[in-house]
Amino acid sequence: MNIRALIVDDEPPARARVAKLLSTYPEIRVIGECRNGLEALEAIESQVPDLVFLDIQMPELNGFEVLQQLSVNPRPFIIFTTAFDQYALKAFEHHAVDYLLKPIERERFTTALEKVLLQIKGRHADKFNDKLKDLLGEYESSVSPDRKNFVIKDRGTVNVIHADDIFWLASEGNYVTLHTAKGDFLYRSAMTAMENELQTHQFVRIHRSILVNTLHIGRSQYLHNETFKFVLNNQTSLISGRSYKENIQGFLQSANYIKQF
Amino acid sequence: MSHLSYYKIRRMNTMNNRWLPIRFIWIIASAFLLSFIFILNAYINHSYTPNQEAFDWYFEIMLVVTNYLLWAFLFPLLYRFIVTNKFAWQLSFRTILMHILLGLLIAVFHRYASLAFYIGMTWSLKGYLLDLFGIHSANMVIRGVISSMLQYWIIIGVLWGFEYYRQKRQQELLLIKTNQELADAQLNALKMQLHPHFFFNTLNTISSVMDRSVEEAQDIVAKLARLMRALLDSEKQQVITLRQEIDYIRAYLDLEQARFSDRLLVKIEVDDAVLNAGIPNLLLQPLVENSIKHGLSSQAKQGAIEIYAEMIQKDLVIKIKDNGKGVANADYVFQNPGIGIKSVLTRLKVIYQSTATIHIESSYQAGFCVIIKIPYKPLSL
Repeated sequence: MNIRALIVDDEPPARARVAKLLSTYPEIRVIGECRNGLEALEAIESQVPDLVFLDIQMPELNGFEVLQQLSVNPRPFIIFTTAFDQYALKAFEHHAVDYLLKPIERERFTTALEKVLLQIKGRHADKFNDKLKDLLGEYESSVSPDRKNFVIKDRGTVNVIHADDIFWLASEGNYVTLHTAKGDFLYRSAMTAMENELQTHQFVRIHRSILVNTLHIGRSQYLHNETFKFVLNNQTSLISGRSYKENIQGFLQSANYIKQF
Repeated sequence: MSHLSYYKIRRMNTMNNRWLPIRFIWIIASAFLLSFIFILNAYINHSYTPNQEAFDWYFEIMLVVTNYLLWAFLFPLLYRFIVTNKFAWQLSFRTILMHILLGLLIAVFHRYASLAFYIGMTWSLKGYLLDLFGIHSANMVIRGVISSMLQYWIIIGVLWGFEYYRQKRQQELLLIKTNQELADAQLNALKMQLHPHFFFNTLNTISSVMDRSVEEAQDIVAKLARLMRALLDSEKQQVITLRQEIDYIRAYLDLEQARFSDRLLVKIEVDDAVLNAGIPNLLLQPLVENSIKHGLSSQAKQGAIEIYAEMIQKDLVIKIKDNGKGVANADYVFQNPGIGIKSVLTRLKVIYQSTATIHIESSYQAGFCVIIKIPYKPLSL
């Protein structure tokens, strides 16, 4: 049988190394290589490989985030590759998911691959998927605070928005609009949920339906009647809600880097 | 819109705002002790001079005690003046001139004040009033002004002694604290350097490149060795030449280039004139690493890093620039510094105090540039 494999890593030599190790397996065909999480997501969805060698630390989306966003069924088998990531290793051990440490030992590679080949041939995808689901569950609950990405799929294109890149966001019913330099994006979430998710980032709620990224505030000004005006670096003006006065004052006091106030 | 953010490397606070180096009661006590000695001196002098009149204890005591008590009250003012005016306590022609003039002024004031007391005393005891601003008084002031001036200089000398001792002690305390901070900062720089992620990925690169070219792999191994050697040496040498630092950075960037191949462009331009400049070892390393981390690793596009070093007036100016995402608010970087920037700030502050500056030029999605300025000091090896 012919097994179709995809190699995902942001370092070319690392991809070459896996490809070289795979070259001794005639039944495995490398159908492509991806340089980052976004490319990987698109390639997996469009080419539906059987097996993916997935690096964890990558630009745009990391390995876990790629898996979170995957909507193909059945999911491919995954072998994680990582040079060093204490957290990930613990998670792998915990869920008995296969991983390879870089530099890759040939013996270890052989063992991992044989195990996966057995699973693929026996179509034990369900069991593997369960393990992966548990792993992702753990990842989601302990997502690293300095990295928060929003993945938005819109008519076939995938956009990754990092929290720092959001200028401000506004709630629109069941959705929030993320305003960014790349344009506006609709994201399915409630305002309070977003506020919680972005707690570790520099956001401040200034209105019932507006959350502002303080990194992008150019200046702020007290208007009247307990309202404030915020002008963002991209010249957008936002007026705060009256009941958020205390919230805003608290922020202005702690954020002494906004001197214009 | 570009944000420019400055981080002022403040001089550490060595001044405390005390009015006195010792408690006032001791100053008063000293005034009385001095008075006692000089009264004794006057008495002995009087007794062994074939003399006419009896020793006038009351006048003698009042005269001497007034003299020294007046100084005791002037003491805090003079001390305050010396502590708060840096130039009042540097040894320069200007300062000496200033003290001669100020000494004269204070001596005249001191004389007149003493005289005023004296006049008050003679009036209360003998019933006649001298004219304070008359020719007779002026005569007495001129006669006493030199000794008052001498007393002024002695007091200034004593104050200098106090201040010198205090600053010396404070410097010692500061040095202990500083060395601790420096050691911490250096350790942090080292820790970043020995980041296992970088290390293992480099080993992985070597293992991969071997398939393609053994020579290329050997080059990478040699560079890794150079890096590790520099790290091991870094404990021995606090200051190295810019040439050494740049060599080291180049080795590091070569390794990153080997890892990322075509994705990283490197440009290094260093003026020959500053190659021998002394620079704290591994000072630039965390900044370069930050540029790699934020400029290259977090985005998929082609990364570029540029390093410039040149002499501007008498300073060594180093610029590290990347084409990464930048920051929307450069102040924020100094307010919430990561481990890398923090170690750089600490080392600049401790080693150069206010003679070094660091600033960041960055705006959202338009790269990040950090500029360090330190005094140029050639290092002879």
